[in-house]
Amino acid sequence: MENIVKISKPGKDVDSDDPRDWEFHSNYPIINTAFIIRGEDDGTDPTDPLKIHHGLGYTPLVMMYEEYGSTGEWANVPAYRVGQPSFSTTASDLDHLDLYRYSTAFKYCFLVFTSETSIP
Amino acid sequence: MNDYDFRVSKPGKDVDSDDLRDYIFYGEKESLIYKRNSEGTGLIELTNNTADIVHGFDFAPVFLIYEKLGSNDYWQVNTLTGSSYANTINEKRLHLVNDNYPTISKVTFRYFIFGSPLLGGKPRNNLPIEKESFGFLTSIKGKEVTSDRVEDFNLNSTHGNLLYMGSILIQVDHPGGTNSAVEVSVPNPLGYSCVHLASIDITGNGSLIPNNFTFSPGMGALESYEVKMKPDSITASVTRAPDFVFSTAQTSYFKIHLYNQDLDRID
Repeated sequence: MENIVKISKPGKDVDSDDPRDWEFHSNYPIINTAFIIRGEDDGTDPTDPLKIHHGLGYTPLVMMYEEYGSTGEWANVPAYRVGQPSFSTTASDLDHLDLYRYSTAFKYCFLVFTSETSIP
Repeated sequence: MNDYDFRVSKPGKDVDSDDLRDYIFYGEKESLIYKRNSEGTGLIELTNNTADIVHGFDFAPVFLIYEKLGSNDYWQVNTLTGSSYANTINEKRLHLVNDNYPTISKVTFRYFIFGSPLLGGKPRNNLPIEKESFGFLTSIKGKEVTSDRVEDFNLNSTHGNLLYMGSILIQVDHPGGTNSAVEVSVPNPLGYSCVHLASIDITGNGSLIPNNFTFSPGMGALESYEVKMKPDSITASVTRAPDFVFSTAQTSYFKIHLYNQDLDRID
């Protein structure tokens, strides 16, 4: 018999086989961040991407958020965009991600997850 | 080793491993937890109006939005597009809008608001949370497990989180030239439209970008990469305008991570 630890959602049977009923299951990783990297770019050097260090040694799943202007409004950033902040991970450098900047100051927040996302 | 910790390693992996990939759960690291009510998750349909979701935190938190555009029967991650800042969050509320109306008659949103601040160093007020007679809590490093703040926990069975169910890899070979869109579909192993996050290798060189995006380098050139999530299938779509910029063939890879929550179901 397999040994597992499982926690069901309120009102759901802990023996349910439906993943939607689980809050925790020791066979399936919970979404965990390795790092949350917050910072601000002053907009003075938008030419080269800024290397953001995470040091995991593999390509992690990453999400980026940006505060535009100083409005306190944050948006989920998709990928590289002309003339606006964005980012990518680089296969040749497994300890950093590249932040593409532009000529205006902005705040950023990276969620660097523990999950590996490299393409085989 | 810390005095207090809770870790669950993957089968066959050492619970003292330094490799974060070896863990099902790692108590020293922050996870994403959302409130199991309308402040934390919900489904909303908008036509030419907007909606504000008051989240109850006193900081701008991490959020995730999925959308069904118009009569589409698939979900996509909603992110910033071009210079549009339509769907944003601040320290009070998540703001949702169908900014394409009337071109797109309606948009259905599914949102998740997590108890993790986007901006560090901001003082927080106590935020009472519901505690039930039965629950399982682990606090993040340095926080009390008796805390009444959502953001102090990395596992809280009275609230919701995301479990990683696996990932799929889809290869899309675009011939370039006059063909504008190529789509590749695979069966959805979960059988329902689930929360997902993608990493996309657009040039086959191993450098990755996240989720859906549209890239317009100018002069009418257009390039877009999308993941379309349906209960029975998951589709990777590559659209490249038939002009000189995208005239050559290109192979792209989509690695799509699947999580247990159902986008069509609130529970």
